[in-house]
Formats: sequence, structure tokens, C-alpha cells
Amino acid sequence: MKFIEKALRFGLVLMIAVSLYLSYLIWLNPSARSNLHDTGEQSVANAEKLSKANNVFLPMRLAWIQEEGVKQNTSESFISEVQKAVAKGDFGTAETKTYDSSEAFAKTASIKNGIELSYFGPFLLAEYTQAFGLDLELAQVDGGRELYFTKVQFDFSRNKIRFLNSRRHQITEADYTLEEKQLTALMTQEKDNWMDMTADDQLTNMQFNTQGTIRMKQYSYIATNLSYTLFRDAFFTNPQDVKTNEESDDLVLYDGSENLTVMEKSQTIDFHGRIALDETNQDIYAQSFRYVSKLGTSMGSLRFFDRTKDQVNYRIFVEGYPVFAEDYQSEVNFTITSEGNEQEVPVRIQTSLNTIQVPIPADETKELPNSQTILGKLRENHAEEELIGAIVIGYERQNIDSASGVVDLIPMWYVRYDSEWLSFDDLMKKLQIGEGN
Amino acid sequence: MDFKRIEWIFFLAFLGLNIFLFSIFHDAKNEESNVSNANQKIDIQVRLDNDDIKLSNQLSKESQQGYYLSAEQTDLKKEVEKQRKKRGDRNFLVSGTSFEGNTLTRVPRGNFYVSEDKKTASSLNSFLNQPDQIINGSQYSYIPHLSFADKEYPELIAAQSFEGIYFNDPTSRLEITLEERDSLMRISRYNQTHLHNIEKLREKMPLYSERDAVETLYINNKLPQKSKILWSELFYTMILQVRGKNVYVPAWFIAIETGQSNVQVEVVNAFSNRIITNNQLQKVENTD
Repeated sequence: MKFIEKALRFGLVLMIAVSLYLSYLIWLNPSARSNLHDTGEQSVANAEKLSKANNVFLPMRLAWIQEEGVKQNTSESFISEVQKAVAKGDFGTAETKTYDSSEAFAKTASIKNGIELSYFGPFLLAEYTQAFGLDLELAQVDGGRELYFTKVQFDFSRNKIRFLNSRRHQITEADYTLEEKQLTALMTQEKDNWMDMTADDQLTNMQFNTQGTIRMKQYSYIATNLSYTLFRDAFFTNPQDVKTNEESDDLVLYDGSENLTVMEKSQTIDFHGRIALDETNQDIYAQSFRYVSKLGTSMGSLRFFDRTKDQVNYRIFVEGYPVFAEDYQSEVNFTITSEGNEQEVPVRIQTSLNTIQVPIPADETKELPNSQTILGKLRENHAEEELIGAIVIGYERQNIDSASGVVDLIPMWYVRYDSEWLSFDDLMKKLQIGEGN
Repeated sequence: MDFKRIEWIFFLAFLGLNIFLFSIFHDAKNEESNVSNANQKIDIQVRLDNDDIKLSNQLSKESQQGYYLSAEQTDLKKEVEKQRKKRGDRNFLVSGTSFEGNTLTRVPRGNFYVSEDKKTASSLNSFLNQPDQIINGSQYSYIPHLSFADKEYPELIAAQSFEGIYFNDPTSRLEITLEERDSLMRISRYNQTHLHNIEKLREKMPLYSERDAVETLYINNKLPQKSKILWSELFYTMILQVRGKNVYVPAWFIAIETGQSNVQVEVVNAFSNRIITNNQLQKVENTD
């Protein structure tokens, strides 16, 4: 009798405990709570394609170096075709050599016959070989996980592939064979988009200078606001669990440690979250690519542009040239600091809802001076040589008509000065103000 | 009531409550897995089969390439006058020809026949290549999917093309009305619109595939159960008029039979994979 009494009491306590536990589970279940759910937009986003690494990390410029001179091409489809062709070659084992002086590095770094693919910011060898399927033997260089470069050279005379890091005076080299004729045939087939270059007066990043003045087309676009759901689905770990806060004018979405703010006035997006680390995302490129890939092609041709220690910047490119604008329009900027623990790191993403979408006909062109003229003017205004990181033609987005959303893209020179990208005019103003003080 | 009986009542009450709570939790769990299933990439073919949606052809995964194009609408009245001067023939397309806006309507002189079979394209081509009957006829090609839509009033549709992709737009079209005569189809009249200065606005870009476009229609509830996809084809269609020029994008046109002889054509932008079927044409006035 006593046993039944004890069992009943124990059973009752157990039942109470189970009921509390089940209540707790039901309370925590996401589908039991009201979520921010826009089914129409959500379903469309489902059919979005992921961006591929070989598009996002495509080199920005291709230089064709021959005895008779250097020509440069920025066409995205052409560079992509060349990149595919070079991956078919046979690769040897990579070895790295560091040079003591800039003179020794510069002397070794220049080639007489070959092609050169380059980036504005440093890129990682391990990511490059993975993105473009290069069968390069990297065992001797620790898998290329610590080797950064801004230029890849295919030297036809010596049958070598070389990765150049001009900041560290470092060259990683491997044997490489590919029928040279195949590549030169590709080069000669491409009739348009070539620009004559010169190796005179090179900056420390070893970029070629343009020879004559350059006539560039101006473009016009219709710019529109993308749906915030695109960014919600791309950035949040569990977009279906996201809740909204409508107390302020700005739209705030949040879930756990992740939150996203859409500023009402500027239409900028500010996302804070944490990236769980695993063996596939140990570097800043792979960590940020996860988000860029999920954005798909909705923003246009979004490509890796530059990086600093904790930041990596992706920009929209138009006909092979980067677009610069205010309020993060035309870019996605990542700040990923390594202050987190071994399991996760904090990430901040800044971008804009507003983006250029549909091109519209425009016949205007603009003449730009050559890059040496630009450098000459900078030097005249006492710009510090070692702070000039790179010089590039980009398109400045100018908002013409806010009602119709028409924006013009005006070509101009941009300079990376002291790790900051500025238009030539803005940099000149800055230098002149500096002198006045 | 003694304490033992109260204990029994509580025990049974909590047992009932737990069964109830468990059933709620179980239902919620199922619902959640349905939601996540919907978000997962289940093959579109399987989803279509489940909903008894039939296909006339296997869906292609091939990603083609296309352009944003700009083009100008031809003033056909001026074009005819230009041709008259060029040919030195004042009577060229005089009789039986009328103009309304940019559309030319003509009743051809003479008897031209086409057949509704495999020879339609070739018999139509021989008509299109008659320079005394039609201007720029050789720029148009026969589009089977758009032709013979109505058996009672048979019509042939031909359009201009750019690098292998045809225009499906009222701004570039040849609508040929046929009449049945002695079991043959005679061309009785045609309406023509024409585009010139067709230019690429940007570099070639990859397009979403036919399969992607059908998937977009499916998840946006545009493919009802037991419907049938009759055909799908990539065409250029106008999305914008700006500064006196038209802007065209490649788009998937997908014909869906939703009931008996009820055919609906849905349009999906092949650059963005968004449905643009009923989008209003955006016009941008001169911004200079």
C-alpha cells in the first residue's frame, strides 16, 4: 500500500514537471510566435541564384604584355574567359621568395611576354586557386592560406605562373605550361576594350599607366530601392525567425544576437551579427562571401574590390569599372574583426537598399587625362608618394532626377590615398586644404 | 475527500493536460518542418508532379546570355517615302496601304498563300523576301508559338530578332491576317511595326534558365494545380521608354493552360527572375 502511495506521489510530481517542460517548449517554438513574414517576396527570393566565387572574385584588369607594348582590358566577360582558359594549364609546385629591396623586387617582377591579371586590394592565394579551380601544388607554402597578392602573372617566356605581393616584396612562383597560342588567339579575337599602357613611372603597386587621354562613355541608369527582405534573407542565419521593431522611424529587424537597421532617410542598411567559424570560412574573404553569394545578382555585378585589415569591400561594376557613390549605394562593406573567440567572430555589414538597376541609353562621352598626368598633379600638390596606393578609373553616381530615379554615371579618376578611395578632385581639395593649414 | 483521492484527481488532470500539451507541441513541430520544407530546394520537377502540373517539354537548365537593348521605333510612313525616292518608284506601297502612328497596314496586291504545317516558315519567308510587297521584310522571322492562336481568325506572327532572340513586343511585329480559300491560307492583310538602331546597352550577361523562370511562377502561385505548360520561349520585351528610345530585356514567356482552352501567358524577366506580366511600362521623360 505504501508503495502505491509513493509511486502516485512521484508520478504526480513527474506529470507537473513534464507539463512545465512542454509549456516551455511550446513557448519557445518559433512557429508559435508571430513573425515578420512576407510570403510573396520570400518565395521570389527562393528562386534567386547564389553568386559564384569565380564572378565575385574575378580579377579587375588584364594586361597583355608583349615586346611591342602593353595593352589593358577591363571587360568582365573577356577576363572571365581568359581566367577559364588559363586554369586548363599544367601547374607545378609553388615556392615563395621575398626580396630585400623594392629595386630588386621591381626588377624581378616585370615580365616581357605574358599576361597579368590584377586586383586593387590584396587577395588570398588559397581562395584564388579554389575559386578558379587552379590545380596548383601549395604544400610548400602552407596551402597559400597566408599568401596575399595583387597580381597574377603568366610568363610565356619562362613558363611560370607568379603571384606578386608588392607591399611585402614577395613573389610566389610555380612552373606552368599552356599552349601560348591558345591564349594569344583569345587575345587577338578580342577587338574592343583595349587601352594602350606604359610601364613608365609605375607606382609601388606596379600598375601600368595609361598612355594617352582616354575617351570614356557616360552611362545612365534607373535606380530603385530593393526590398529589405532580400537583405534579411541574405544576412540573417534564420530569416524565418526574424522579428521587427516598429517603434522608431527606422526599420529594425532582429533575431538573437543579429540585428539589421534600415535607415529611413538614407536607405542605408546596417547589419550586426556573428559568424560561426568552421574549416571553410577561416579568412575574411570566405566569411564575407557567404553573405555576398546569397545576395545573388539582384544588386547587379557585385565584385570584390578592396580590403584593409578588418574590412573587405565589394562594389558594383559597370562595364568593368567600379561605381562610387554616397551612403553605401553601389557597395557592400564588411567589417569583420578578429576580436571574437575561436568559435565565432563579429561582423558588421553596411550597404544600401538603393541600387542602379536598368541601363538607359546615353550618348555622352567624357575625356579623361592619362594616369601620369593625374600623378603629376598629385605630386605638384605635395601628395606623399608612399600614400598613393592605386589609381583607377571609376564611375561616380550622380542623382539627376529623384522622381524618376534616373542617375548618371560619370567616369573619373579615383585614387586610393592613405587607405581611402577618393575622386581625384576631392583628393586635390584635401591636399590643398592640408597645404593651407 | 481524503488526501489520496485528491492526489489521484491531480494525477489524472495533469496526465490529460500533458497529452493535450504534447499534441500541440507535436502539431507545431510538424508545421515548422512543413515551413522549412517549403524553403528547401525540392526539385521543381517533383513539385510540379505533386501538383499534377504537366509539361510539354523537359525544362532546360541551360543559362543563355542576353543584353539590355535600346532601339528606336521606325516611322514607317517616312521609311516608305524614303524607299520610294531610293527606288525611284512613286507608286511603291501606295495602293492598299495606310498608316496609324508607327503602324503600317497593307492589303497586298496579288495572291500569296501559306500553309499551316511544317512549310509555314518557308512559305512565309518567300513572301517576306518580296521587296515590292513589304519593307525590311527579310528582318522578320516566323514565330510559331505566337501564330494561329485563334483557329477562327488565323494569324501569323513574325518579328525582328537580335543575336538569335526574337522580339515579342508590339513595337516589332508583323501580324499577318489569313483567310481560308480552297483549303489554302491566303494573306489578306498585314500590320507592321519596326525597330531600327538596335544597340546593346551593356555587355552580355548570363540569364536565368527556363527552369528558374518556371520555378518562380510556381512559388508565386501562378501555376494552378492540374494546369499544363504549353510552351516557353525567350523573347526581348520592352520595359522602359526613355529619351525617345525603348529599352528591352530578355524575358521568358510561358504559356499555361489553366482550364479548357484557357491559356494565360506569364512573363518573367530573365535578368532578375521577377514576374513582369502585368507591369506597366515605365516612361522617363527627357531629363537633360
